[in-house]
Amino acid sequence: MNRIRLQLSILVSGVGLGIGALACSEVETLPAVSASPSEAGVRGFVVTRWHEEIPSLENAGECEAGFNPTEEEYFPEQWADWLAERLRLRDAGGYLPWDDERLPPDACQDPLAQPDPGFLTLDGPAVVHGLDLDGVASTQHDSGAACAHDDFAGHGGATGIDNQFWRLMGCVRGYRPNDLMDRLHQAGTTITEGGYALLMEISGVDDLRNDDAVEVQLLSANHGVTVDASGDLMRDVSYTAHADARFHAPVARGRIEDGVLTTDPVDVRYKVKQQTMDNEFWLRSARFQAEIQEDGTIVGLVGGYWDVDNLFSTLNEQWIGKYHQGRNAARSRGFMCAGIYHAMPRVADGHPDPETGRCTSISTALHFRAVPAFVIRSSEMVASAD
Amino acid sequence: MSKQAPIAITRRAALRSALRGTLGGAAISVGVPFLDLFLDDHGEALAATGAPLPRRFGTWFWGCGMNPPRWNPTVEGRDFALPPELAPIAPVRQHMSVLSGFNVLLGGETNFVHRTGVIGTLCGGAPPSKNDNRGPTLDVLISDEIGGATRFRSLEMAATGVATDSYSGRSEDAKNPSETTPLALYTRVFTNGFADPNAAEFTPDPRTLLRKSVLSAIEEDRKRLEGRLGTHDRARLDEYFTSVRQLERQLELQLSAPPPLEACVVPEAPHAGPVSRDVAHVRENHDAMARVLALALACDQTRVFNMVFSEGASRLHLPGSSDNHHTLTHEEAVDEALGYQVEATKFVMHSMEAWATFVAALEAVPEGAGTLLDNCAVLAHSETSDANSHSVTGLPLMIAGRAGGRLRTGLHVFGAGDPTTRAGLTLQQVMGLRTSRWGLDANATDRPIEALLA
Amino acid sequence: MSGAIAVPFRAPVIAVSIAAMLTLAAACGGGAVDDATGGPVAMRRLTESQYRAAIADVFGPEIDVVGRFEPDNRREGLVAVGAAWVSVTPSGFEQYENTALAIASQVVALDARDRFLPCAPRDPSTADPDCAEAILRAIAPRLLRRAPVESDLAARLDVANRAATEHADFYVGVEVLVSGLLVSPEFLFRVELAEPDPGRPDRLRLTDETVASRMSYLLWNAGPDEALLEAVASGAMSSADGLSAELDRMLASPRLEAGVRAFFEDLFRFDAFSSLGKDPIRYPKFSSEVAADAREQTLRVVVDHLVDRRADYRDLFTTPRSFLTRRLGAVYAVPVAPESGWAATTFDVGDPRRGLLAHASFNMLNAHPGRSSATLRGVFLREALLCQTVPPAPADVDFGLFNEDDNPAYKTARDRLGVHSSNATCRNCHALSDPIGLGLEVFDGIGGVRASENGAPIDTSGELDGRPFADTLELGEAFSESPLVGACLVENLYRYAVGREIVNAERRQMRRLEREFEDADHRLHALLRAIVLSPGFRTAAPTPRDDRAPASVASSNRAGREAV
Repeated sequence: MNRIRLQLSILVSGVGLGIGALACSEVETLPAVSASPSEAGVRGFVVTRWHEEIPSLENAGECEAGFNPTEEEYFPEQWADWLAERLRLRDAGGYLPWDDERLPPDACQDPLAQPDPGFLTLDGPAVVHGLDLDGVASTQHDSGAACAHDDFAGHGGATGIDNQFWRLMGCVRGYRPNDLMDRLHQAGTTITEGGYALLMEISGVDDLRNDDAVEVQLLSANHGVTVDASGDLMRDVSYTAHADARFHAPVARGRIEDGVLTTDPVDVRYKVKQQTMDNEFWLRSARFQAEIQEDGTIVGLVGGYWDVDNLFSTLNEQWIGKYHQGRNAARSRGFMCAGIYHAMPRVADGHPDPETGRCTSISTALHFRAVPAFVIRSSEMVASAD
Repeated sequence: MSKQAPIAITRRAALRSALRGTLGGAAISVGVPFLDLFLDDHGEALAATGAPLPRRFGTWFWGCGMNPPRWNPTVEGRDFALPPELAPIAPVRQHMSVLSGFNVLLGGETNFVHRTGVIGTLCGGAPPSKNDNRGPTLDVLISDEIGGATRFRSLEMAATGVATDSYSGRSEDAKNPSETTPLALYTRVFTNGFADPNAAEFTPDPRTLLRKSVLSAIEEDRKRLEGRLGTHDRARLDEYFTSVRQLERQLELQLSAPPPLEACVVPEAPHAGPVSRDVAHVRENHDAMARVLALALACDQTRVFNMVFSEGASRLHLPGSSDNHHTLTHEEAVDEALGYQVEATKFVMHSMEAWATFVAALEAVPEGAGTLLDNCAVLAHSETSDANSHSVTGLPLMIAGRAGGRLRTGLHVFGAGDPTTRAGLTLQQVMGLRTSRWGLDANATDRPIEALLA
Repeated sequence: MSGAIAVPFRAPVIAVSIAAMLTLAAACGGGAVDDATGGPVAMRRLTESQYRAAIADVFGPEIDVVGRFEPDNRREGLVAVGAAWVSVTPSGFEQYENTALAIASQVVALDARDRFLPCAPRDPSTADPDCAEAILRAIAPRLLRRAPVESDLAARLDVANRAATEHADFYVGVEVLVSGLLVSPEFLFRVELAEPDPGRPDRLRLTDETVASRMSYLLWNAGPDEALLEAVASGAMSSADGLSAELDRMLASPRLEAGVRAFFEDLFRFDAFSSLGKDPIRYPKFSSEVAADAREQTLRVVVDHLVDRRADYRDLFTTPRSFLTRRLGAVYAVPVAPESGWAATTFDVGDPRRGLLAHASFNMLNAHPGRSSATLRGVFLREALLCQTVPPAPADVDFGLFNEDDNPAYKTARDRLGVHSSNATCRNCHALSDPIGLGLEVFDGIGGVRASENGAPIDTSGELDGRPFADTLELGEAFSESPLVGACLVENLYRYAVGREIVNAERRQMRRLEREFEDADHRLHALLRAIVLSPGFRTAAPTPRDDRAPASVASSNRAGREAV
């Protein structure tokens, strides 16, 4: 079947995005635009689920050396002092920030401000959802290659699953099954309350069951999701693509076989804004493996590599007003920033630096689900500089 | 008020012996003869101040009737077994009587589905068209008599949340709109002009005199307009002025301190919840409205009320269902083993449960030597018996309360095909109207239901 | 006193009753008349939107009109007709008084009184009769929609001045003045009066004030403005040219949109939106905002088509043009570009969403909370757009034959309703409604598009009065080609304008209006003009001697319109 590259479904010329938010505001002074539900072969989606794999308890692997301590556990006296003062101030209507001098220097803001206290990774076996990203079922001992690492076993007998993110986080309490992050993922509030929806567009689709050439693009929207009366994301909603084309990933080639979509790797940048976070995520060499269901829903996995520096920043760049909350987040989740900072390069398994040979990204797997939506683009969108 | 003379009960022995018959397939038999029944006290209830407690009248409507074989009791008198669809009234059965076998007699008129039954019962005759009721509703007749003494002539409310769900009015064009939420009912009654009868001090609202003077100017309009209008408009203008007078009376009442009422307790504002025809919402809103209403009555803000639980051709529905009560009564298959429409009947049970809650809400307010309910007469009714066939034969009726000692309760009375106007006549008499005859054409009657009269 | 007929030329103005609103034959004793003599008149209660428009017109849009309004009564399909039958209940009057006081207190509010009132008192702590009179003369004619009657003014001023004195506050008097006007029957009701026609004393014509009021409500859904009141006062309205000039002025005004909206809101029964609920499990896309958008979409499309572009009314049924918000886009499953507000949209050739019948407004209103309803939609379209009565179901129909919906063969509405055609009792009436409604079954209970129901494809073919259609789009074409459609609009707009049923003596006039509408290519402006200039709009018929309504007159006006 021919490869068709189609333009996007709607082009809005001139006026740009959005009119004022007036009730019954004026009609756009545009020539009427075609409202055909789908240009042939172009399908839009909005992501309803997007979070890292956390295996179930029986599959998650053992932390024989125990779980990572928090700073509060590691520096008990300083923290006790600081906490007491914090509470006292709070009762008086004040606020003691997390980088106060009573505490050791804040490594979450300045990672080298503390010595490396060490970090417990999950070194043993586990069974995880994920993809074999490098095409190799590797172990530490096997390869003498740079960034050597142990792969995990997958479900259904799969091997060679690359998920160094689980190695990194597997012995962090908050990332364990049924703990803090797992519950957060199930609640889905990062998406339902997020400031920027995540969109996907598949074009060149001749046949949803089998098509040897399609194109897939992931991009951030300019605004949050629309939720329906049942609390799920509403289907068939129109979303405006983010004004900054930096958050429109390059178009990836893909194919559909028996209803399963797979794509070639591309780098993806997208925005997440929710509660304390307003960050840019950089997932490198991301690829999809997902099933397209009869009702149009797509369910599956995204495999890729978190850039190490970006990962550290997305873990820590949390703010309440002008107050940095990275240390608070680390404490809630159960790790120390100084420790994880040094552990990340140790577990990194992707994108080796051409000069040092050290890997700069960490393999991961994300669960994702998306429902039909419309992606609206303005011809005025430009990409900001990198 | 003096004690009433005992009422001569004319027995119609011939009719009694003919009572054995069938209704919905169930045989009706006469139970214990009425005269042997222990009669309730005639006595008048006296309030703490020595003044007689007011009698209140109300109607309670639910749509789409019931399944006659499962609702109609088979034994007359006091000790009748409660059939399955009346099971919910068990906790309050001693406070009400059940009437079965009363009809709206068509007398040649069309049976306007979901309308003839209710208009026949409330207005006294089968309506000849969809716009003509041939008279005001029962509660209007009563409120014309007793409504002038209170702030509100009557209060109407609909648990469905729709203002036009109302069966009270002088005509089909002049229906009293229903309050649509518990909070709206509360706001109307207990704020903005409400004077707590038990408050230590009374301060008349300074705006009341201002409002009175605004209304005083209207009378001039009347003189000027009336002479130039035809009959139709004059009647409407009349009604408009009746409404003005009602407000004037309300303002008049507000100028002086209301007498203390022991039973009056000012409620808290109800919580504003969702309003829809989802049966869970309707039940919730109904119960909240009942509580507000009970205290509105105890505080003597009105003596006449009309509650619509679900409207005729009820559109109540369960969440997730593509059907509503009405469509189910027509489209659901009868369960072969059970013998009735399972889903549709759920709504009958909801209705009966809600009715029991309503009665309990009135019973829960202590008043005088007894309860508020003792001084009420409430007619529960529906526009049909078997909704599938739109039957207006054997309409379900229940009368709760003792009307200050004038009504006997706990009885089942079988009507043997008599018109439902007998209930309306009974209620008018019990509420003190000097009516000896009521109803139109085939539904005209001069026989109240003696068994119910104390 | 019934309306007197034989009156001397200088008789004071009288109103003509509609004691027998439903009567036709009795009112017009069969005499052949060249032009219509009109029908009965009755005072018409203001609708909520008319009330609000009156306040906005006289005091400005900043006044907040809070409070509930007595529900309107729909009669013979129109609230405008029901308005001639309703009065004010005690609860309704309580609300009117409440609202009136709230408006009056805003008018005299400290920071606003200079804006609303034409003068200030010499001493605000007491009455100032001159200023009070100036205020009254400024607002009374607009609110009461007529020239001031001196005795009426005097009475009102008397009450106001006494209140000002008693309360030692001039502005209390103004409050009394304003609220008094707003609870007056002449404000709440549009009183329509007739007088003997000077040219033909045996006939009655409506007074200039009444004609002006009728015209203003028809075209702008509001009371007469200053210019129109002036035209009445100067006598210009009595002449054909004067009336024409005002008529054209009002037709050309942007305020025409409000009048057109009000008519279609009534015709389309959009008041039902206020109690519309949908099951959230079956229709999670539905919300009250979606409902509001659906209502607005239809009105925008109608106004755009009929008012802005002056297009042929019949083309509404096939027009590809529409307006959408993103919320509606989700329901229709079409992309909508602007993040907020409305987008002009065109549906492609072959898209079933083209045309008025595809609008979510109709499809969600005439359906159940949990599913669509071909019968409800069909009945509505028959009655509102084709002016045909569909009789209600007989009371004693035996549904036992049809209670088989556990039959797996009945997957679509067409299957389920098809059983009706097997029974003679049901067939006659359902044949009127179901084929139309089934042609719209691609739209679910909230107007979303679907191709199948319970896995079975939806067949939208059928027949409209002998004209077959293959699908939803062709149903729209069938409507646009139906000879009933234009005539029905004429009938409805006329009834809306005069607030009553059509009387026998007007039949020829109605035919004439229909022909004129056709000749003008079904343009609304032409029809509005023709109606205002028609004799029935400006005349009245005397009442019959016998005031009692005959017994069975229910659908007599529809005689000749009922489908066979």
